[in-house]
Amino acid sequence: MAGIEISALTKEFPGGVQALNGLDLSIADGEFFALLGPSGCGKTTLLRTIAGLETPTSGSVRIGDRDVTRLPPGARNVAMVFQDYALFPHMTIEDNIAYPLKIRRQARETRLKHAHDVGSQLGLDGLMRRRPAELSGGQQQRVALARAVACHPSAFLFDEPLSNLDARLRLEARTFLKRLQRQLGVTTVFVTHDQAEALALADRIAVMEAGRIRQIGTPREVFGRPANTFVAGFIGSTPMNLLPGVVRDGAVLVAAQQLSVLDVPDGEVVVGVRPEYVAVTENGPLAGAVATVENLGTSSLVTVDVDGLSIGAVVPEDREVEPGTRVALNPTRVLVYRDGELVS
Amino acid sequence: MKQEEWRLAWLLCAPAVIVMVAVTAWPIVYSVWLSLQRADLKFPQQQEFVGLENYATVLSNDYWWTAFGITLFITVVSVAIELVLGMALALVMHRTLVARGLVRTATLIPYGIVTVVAAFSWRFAWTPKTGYLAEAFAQGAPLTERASALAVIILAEVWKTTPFMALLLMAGLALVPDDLLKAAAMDGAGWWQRFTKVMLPAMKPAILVALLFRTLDAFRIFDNIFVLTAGANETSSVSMLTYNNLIKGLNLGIGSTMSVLIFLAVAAIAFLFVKIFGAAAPGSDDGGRR
Repeated sequence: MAGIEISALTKEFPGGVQALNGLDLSIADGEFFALLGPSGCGKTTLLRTIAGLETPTSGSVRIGDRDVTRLPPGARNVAMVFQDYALFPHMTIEDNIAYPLKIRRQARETRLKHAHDVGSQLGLDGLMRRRPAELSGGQQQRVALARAVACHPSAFLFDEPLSNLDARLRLEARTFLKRLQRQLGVTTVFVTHDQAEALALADRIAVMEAGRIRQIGTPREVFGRPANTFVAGFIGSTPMNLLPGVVRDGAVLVAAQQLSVLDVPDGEVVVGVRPEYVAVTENGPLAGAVATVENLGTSSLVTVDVDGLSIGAVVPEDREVEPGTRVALNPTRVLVYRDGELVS
Repeated sequence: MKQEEWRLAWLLCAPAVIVMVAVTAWPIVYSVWLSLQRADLKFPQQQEFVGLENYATVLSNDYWWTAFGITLFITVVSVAIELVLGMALALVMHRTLVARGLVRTATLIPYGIVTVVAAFSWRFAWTPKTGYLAEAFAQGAPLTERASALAVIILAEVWKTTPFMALLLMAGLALVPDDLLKAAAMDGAGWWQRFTKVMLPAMKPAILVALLFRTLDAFRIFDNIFVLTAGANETSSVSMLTYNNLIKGLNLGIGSTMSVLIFLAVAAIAFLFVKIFGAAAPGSDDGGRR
């Protein structure tokens, strides 16, 4: 088991595409770490560089106390689970799980016994003699996990581990994955484009954009205090309200109404407030007519037009309002961004 | 209604069926019929039904078995060499990043040349005094001795059809999922292990198709031998022998018998490939089930 240290990592693909741009990242031993970002942000390249499937243009990768930057993937003692699982179609499940051990020249008896132990730990009893094509997506994913677990790596790397499962199975697999990681306590890095998945699974999240890390933090930090407007817009299942505003003598004004008083220099800002933290009330600084109501199950997203601004607010299911009704909004936990960066 | 539909179905199929019958079924049936006759154009009056007598004649004849052995030898050796070289070429073409089109085109040139033309260039090249290969590599005349003549025939065959093999195998290579190779690399598999344990199994269907096509083709080898040795010094293939009996000897009965035997051998080869090897191909309809 080991932590992962990445310093000044740069990867430039032929043709000048800068996939990673001087990345520094430190992942603690036993941590469940998410690389989150939109497609093309470099998160998969970063994972593959840690794995050794890509060679960095410059910078270094350390796993534990070893510099692995120039080591081939097989010598790094990390296991990877691929997005489409990459099971060998011509081998049985037990042979698939035991394959890494076969490469390490363990005797057939030993490695099959080990494969069966790991298999039953992951609920694969009775499937060991089958072939991958005969298994469901969820089962295949568990086989891929078992293959990773079986070789006792110092770190797991998961590439979009849940994206090939349907929505219901994904939730189940998410819980399973989190429990497994807790049990094994192995440093785990996973890539996802799904912010809900990252929030649910990870101990810490690195949010990436265009080859750079825009914020590293716990799910609570990243959700509650996004470091910049990019992260603010990316995290959260209902998009954060990012409203043009001004600060005058410490007072934060949106649509000429004072939302709060903060210790911020005067000037134009972007005011961020999550719809979950906007209360629909009789008395509030902002007033307007309800434009749309979107049902989210246990709550509804209400969009209110305030002086030409659309502001979202989440209301509980018994507090819904009819479109057209005039309401007041009371935003709390107001964040202020200047030039895209969080100032308060 | 049912009958109407059947009539329409037959009407729609009719043109294809008529053409197939005319160009394929009828010649086959006619050769089978001829093979059961004593039919020699040198003695046209004596045509009569003789049952399986022609088969007994051919199958108890040394010339036939020699030619059969030579054909098998050429087939096995040349297809084996082609498979290895073709795989190497396919890997090179698959991996090439620069001038990919140029490399592929250059590789395919031998396959684009008419076999007879290529065979003549080989013949001239191996002719003593005038041929550059004969001057450089051989004492005497390689095409006049059995072993060296067979070697030249196989060389010509391999040179000509390796590109075809490479092309089919390259299509198979493109089917190997990249992630599988990466996963094997993560597990610590070296290049050779990735090739034998991941690529070859994934390519198995493509390899079988390539082998089947080439084996069937090689078994009917004719033009290379016709040009290079004309079957001298016991280098005749079964097709050469059939040609000699049918066209030169004008013995339609014996010639047809040989044609039918070649047809049966080819059918047996195809059956062998499809039934025995083909059944275990991963990714086929049964999902690789045992």
